[in-house]
Amino acid sequence: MLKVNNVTKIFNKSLNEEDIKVALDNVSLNVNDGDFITVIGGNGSGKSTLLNVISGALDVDEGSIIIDDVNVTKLLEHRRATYIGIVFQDPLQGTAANMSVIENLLVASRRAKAKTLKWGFNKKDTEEFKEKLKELNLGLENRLNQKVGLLSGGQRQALTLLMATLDKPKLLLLDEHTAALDPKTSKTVLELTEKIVTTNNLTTIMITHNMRDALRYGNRLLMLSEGKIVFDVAGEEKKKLSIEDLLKKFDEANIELTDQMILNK
Amino acid sequence: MDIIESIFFILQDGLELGLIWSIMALGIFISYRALETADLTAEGAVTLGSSITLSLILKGMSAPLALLIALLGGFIAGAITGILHTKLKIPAILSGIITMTGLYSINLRVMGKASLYLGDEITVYSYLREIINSSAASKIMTTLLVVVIIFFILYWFFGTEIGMSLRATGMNQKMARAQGINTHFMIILGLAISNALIALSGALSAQSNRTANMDIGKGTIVIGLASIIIGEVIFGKKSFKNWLIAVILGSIVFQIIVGIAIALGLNPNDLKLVQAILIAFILALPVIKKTKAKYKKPEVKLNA
Repeated sequence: MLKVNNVTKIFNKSLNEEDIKVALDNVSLNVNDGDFITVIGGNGSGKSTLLNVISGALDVDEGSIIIDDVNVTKLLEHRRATYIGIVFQDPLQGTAANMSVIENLLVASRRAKAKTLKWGFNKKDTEEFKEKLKELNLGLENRLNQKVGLLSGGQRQALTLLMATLDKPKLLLLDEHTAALDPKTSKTVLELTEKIVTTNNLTTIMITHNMRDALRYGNRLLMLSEGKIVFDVAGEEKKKLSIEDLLKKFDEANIELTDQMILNK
Repeated sequence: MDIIESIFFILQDGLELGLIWSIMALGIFISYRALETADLTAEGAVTLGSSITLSLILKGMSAPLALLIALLGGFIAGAITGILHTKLKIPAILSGIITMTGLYSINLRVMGKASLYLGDEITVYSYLREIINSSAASKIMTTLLVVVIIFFILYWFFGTEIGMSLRATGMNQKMARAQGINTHFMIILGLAISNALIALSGALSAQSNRTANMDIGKGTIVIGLASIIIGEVIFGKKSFKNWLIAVILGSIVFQIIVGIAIALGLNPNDLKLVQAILIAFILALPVIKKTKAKYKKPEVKLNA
């Protein structure tokens, strides 16, 4: 479904040799249809860069990205959005604060389509949005005309999740999308994520710094270190993994645990 | 009696000028509020609109058509700024300055001299003048008609898929790209529409005054911003429709305030300075409020 072929991404290329940062080092990854992959790794391990080269927010220096047999390596970010839905870490980044809930959803519902001069609002869409908002269980269906800036971080992130999956994407990318939320809200949004992913059978890549979440969700787990995939486990083998196993792997790969990861152990 | 009469004239002038410049304020609104970009093309676009429209009328073109071509001129100027900014990665402010500077020569070329005057040529204001026996009333009606048309077009446009994409781009480019929006195109289109309106406003002013000169665009941005902010403060920005109306009314209120200030003895030469100070003060209000709150003595509540 998604193929990442020998992708290398280097930052600070023009500087001195010691300043050069190899964010992705000849990474290859083959994602199957329906995979729900969780990605863990230390700070600067390249997990966000991996997501960003897939989404097109960053260009690759070498290698190629193939989605459903289409080579998208040279496609700009907004063109790749035809295939990809994405939720960022910062709840402020996924929505337009000064636009209403319904306007944000309208924009999102046209993600994969060419934008025309057709009037955006119509009854059918509104009903569909209300239906989907009800499923979030946050009461947003009664706040359609409210500006998104007035919502809480958790509500905004849940809305962004809905926006990213509204027009069923081939690939859903979640970039630590609950890291900025309090533990309770984080759990709600994660459960919502799993519900949406399983009911729509979405191919998903989710970055998390929370080992427990990385184990609980998904059918496959990747560990990144220094721009390389150092651990890739799926299916039954993943189910059997414990936090201790992961810690051992971190130790083997010589990854320094961040405070956040220790706290979320 | 004298005072009532002068109040009437201040209101009448304010309405007449406010309506004409409200179209410019709507243009600034698109760049400054919808796209959150400070676009200095505006200063040149006003002059461009007025010079195009008058020189075409003097060459024998009909006034309404000359108005449309002025609009088109502004559209192209704005698009150039947009291309400089998005495709060539020049900061927005500089892109505007570059276009504005270039427009100075273009405007001189279009006019052929530093100022133009109409004789008894027909302008868009001539049609209603034949029916209505008052110059001011016919001018106000004519401009009002244009403003109403522009308002409905803008309201419709910002409710379309492209219009909403444009607003999303202005607010959050990262989100817009993730939602499949071509942000470069939206910025170019937005700046083009913005300057088309600003040029139209300049053209209407020129046809109304039957004259155009190189100075007409000076201070455009400040006047536009002042109109927008006054409108927002007095009339609110609850919905997008509400917001657009607030900008139009804000422009009228602004011109009335200027009229009052001059009637009270303000030297017109000092007007720009007063405007500049006023807009700096209004834009600084959030900071001023915050500082004030910080140094305010905490209220001590006494339990009686």
